[in-house]
Amino acid sequence: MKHGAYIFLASFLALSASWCGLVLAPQLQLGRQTLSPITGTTDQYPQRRPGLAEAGLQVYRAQGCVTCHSQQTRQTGAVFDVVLNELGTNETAVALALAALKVDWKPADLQALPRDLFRGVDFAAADAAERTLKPTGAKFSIAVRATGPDIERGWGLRGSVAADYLQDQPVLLGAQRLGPDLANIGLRQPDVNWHLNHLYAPASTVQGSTMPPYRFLFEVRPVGLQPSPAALKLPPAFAPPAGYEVVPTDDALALAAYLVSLRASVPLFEAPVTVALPASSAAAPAP
Amino acid sequence: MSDAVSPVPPAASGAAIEASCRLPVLALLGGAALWLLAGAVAAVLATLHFHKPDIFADHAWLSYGRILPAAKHALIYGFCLPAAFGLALWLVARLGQVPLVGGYVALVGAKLWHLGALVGGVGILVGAGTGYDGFDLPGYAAVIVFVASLVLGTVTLLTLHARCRRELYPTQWFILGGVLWLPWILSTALCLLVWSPVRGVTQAVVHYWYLNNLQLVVLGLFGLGALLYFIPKLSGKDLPSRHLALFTFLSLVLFGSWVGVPEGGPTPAWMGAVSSIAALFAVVPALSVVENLRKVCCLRAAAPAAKFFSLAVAFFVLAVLLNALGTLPGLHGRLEFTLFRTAQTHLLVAGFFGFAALGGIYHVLPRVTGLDWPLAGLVRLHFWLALAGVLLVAVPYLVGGWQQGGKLAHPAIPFMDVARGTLMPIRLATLGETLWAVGALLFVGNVFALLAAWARGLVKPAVAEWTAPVAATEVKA
Amino acid sequence: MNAPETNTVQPEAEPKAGAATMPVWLLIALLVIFFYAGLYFDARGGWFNPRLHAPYHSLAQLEQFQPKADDGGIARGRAVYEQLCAVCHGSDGAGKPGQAPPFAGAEWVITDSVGRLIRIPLQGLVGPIKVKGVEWNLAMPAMGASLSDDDLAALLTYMRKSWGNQAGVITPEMVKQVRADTASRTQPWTAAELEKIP
Repeated sequence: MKHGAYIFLASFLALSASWCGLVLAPQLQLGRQTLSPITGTTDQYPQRRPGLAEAGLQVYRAQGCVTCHSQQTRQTGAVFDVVLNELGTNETAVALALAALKVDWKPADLQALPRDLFRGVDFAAADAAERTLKPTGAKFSIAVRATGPDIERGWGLRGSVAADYLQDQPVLLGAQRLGPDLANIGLRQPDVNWHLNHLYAPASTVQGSTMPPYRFLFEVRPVGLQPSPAALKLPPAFAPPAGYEVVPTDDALALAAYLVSLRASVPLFEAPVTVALPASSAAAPAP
Repeated sequence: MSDAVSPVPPAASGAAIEASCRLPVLALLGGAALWLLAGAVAAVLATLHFHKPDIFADHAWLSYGRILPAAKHALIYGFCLPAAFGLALWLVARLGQVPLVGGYVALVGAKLWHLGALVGGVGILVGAGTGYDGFDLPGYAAVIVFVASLVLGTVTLLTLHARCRRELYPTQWFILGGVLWLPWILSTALCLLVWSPVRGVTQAVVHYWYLNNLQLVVLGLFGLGALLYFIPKLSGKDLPSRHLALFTFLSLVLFGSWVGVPEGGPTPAWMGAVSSIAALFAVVPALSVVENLRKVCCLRAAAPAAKFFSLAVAFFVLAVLLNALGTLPGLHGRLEFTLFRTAQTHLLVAGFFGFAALGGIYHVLPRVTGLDWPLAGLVRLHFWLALAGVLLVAVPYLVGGWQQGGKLAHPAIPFMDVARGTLMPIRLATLGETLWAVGALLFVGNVFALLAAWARGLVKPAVAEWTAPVAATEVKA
Repeated sequence: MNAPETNTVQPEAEPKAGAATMPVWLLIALLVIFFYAGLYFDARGGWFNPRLHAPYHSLAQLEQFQPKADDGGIARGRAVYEQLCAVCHGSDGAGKPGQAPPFAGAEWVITDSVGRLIRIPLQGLVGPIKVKGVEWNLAMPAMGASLSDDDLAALLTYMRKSWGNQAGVITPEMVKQVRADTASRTQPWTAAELEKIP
């Protein structure tokens, strides 16, 4: 039995090492995490989701949405953009500084501010720009921008970090992208009605969608004396027969509220980012 | 407790050993066969969503988000783990040359396990699942399964302790490790994810740890332990190296248990890095197992189970190598969120452990019941169907996942292209899952024909005795 | 076929574990992996720091990326906007039909008569108002009443410099002045009243 005892001990130690390393240590590091301040403000993040959205998280879990959708954006890098906002009083000094920084400028450019000086540079270049421009009295901003396929696809402004999931239970990060990532779907599609239409008939909102319809989350019923204000407005191809309307159940409303509450692009210490969103185009945002 | 002091009890007869573990082993393995079929059918239904998205749009329990986790639940908690315990009980009894200690307790444990798995499966289908991949069964079902694992584990440990043959064969170490680790990870997941959830993303870390330890370490321990016995047994030779087996065991528990946390996610960077490194190290037990079993390869053995065991080793090596692929420079993050990961898991669970368990069941049931397989030709047919099934799922997913990852990495490619690109691999997987399901159907047919023959064998002598004509001398006037 | 040997009195022969030595190449492979793993962790592991998420390698690097240059309050204003206004007016400033008018290119946002703009979040707005040629008739609550002067100034500056808008900054002093001027006002504004403000 001695031999067996040693083997038992060795396996016990090895296995408990992984428990200590991947269960205990993360709990010690993150288990007492509380709200973090949003960089540059006194506000705390993340705020608890509204009640309907919290109920929606349970609907998300029960329907197994995590089987196809992930809820984490990934960031593969971070770069700086230097933008000149205002010239200040000493235009000559600014011109000299720009020449020193080897920026290709024409006098006309300096009137059409704000203007990008550098886009996508590393810390060294941004630091040099800051040190050169500061004494000139010009107003400039150095914005931090995240890079990576997820970011460039418009799925978020920065990579997801641990603080984003503090208020959620369960935390369903997802391991498949058969459908788009949902970490910031509340930013891309802030309209609850779009989500309700999408759940009832995905093809009506996203052409060629592979997502199955979730018709059992809705009720198709005859129109009463007046159409219900909650009835979905669907394109003709997906609308119910005449005299019927599609009304969302509580589960559908909760799920839509949850999806609209999904946004994770505030700047934090662990995930610095300082970019204002560009003006939207006339077309609908991409999923 | 050393051998020199206490006298070794006399070895029990082979028949007595088989008889002692008959009932629990039949309960576990028979139930596992039914679960295999149920899971296979559910998997086919899941892939149908990608042929026609609104095929089950009006039925909540058939929606993709419920039927696929249910299929995975059936495969792991219904087929793999009961088969693991069934084989483990039989192996410790046989290798220790001692009848099973507490056969009836083990039978209760087996029934309890199947009850828990059933409650869990139904819970997932009605929407009470936890949402965690590989641990979707609701908390109340997980408790039942946990208690059952304790019961079965205790019986295994007691049998190990009471063994006649004192020298430990490597398989017994592996079983010891598996029986210790499964209740540990189950209770951890139950406590930290369901009863008293930890805060925030720590839940996701516990989940990653649990899923990996379930799939790679627990199934790896039970599966490799079984293979280290069955393969030398069928080839008629001894296992070449005890030291190599010990190395396999220790490297699997030491390195394999740290895999699981993906890099680049919302967890602190060190967790993903440590898991990636562990995934690299996890190649070592695979290499050592191949080296050990290379010289006792049983592929040419007459027993039909032999093919299952050989392929199981191949799938293990393939799954572990694919898992380590993500650590290569240039591939970081490229394979995340793609069908590639699904393929790797499928190769590990259905490929490696599924084949090891099927081979084990085909080997063990005749010995435990004392009868041959009634539909013997179907065993070979099942092998080819299962092999085609696994490959027709894994290969499309590997290729499709690779392309999916490439497209995801280029933001200029609209997501609709990525989504539509996953349709073909999943449609091909329908074919693969169907072949796997047909094989499972043949398997269930074979198993229950065997059980029926065994039951008839029990009942026949009793019936014959009752219906025998009474001798004239015994009839009282 | 498989003749089960369960009827013998003696237990059948089971395989034994031999004593062959471990191959050296396996140990070498282990050492090579150890070495690669060390380099890997050094590059990507962040040395167990709980605040480091990929892609940052070290705390020093993360510090470098924290905003510090004077950016006219853009970061702060953006954060306030996301929390308070984006739900209705959209993170892209495009507004929502029937719910909230757009800010991108809106004359009420980029106006030089900053007093009009500052009053809207301070006391709210009701009644018909024309934004970018479209008539809106909703009720805007006094969303900015609880904000500090600094926060409200940063918010409005952000709105005036985003989504293609190119207007001047709003300073906390301007907000303070408007607050003082409207201290006795409790009713929301109407567009007609606002247009009377210089």
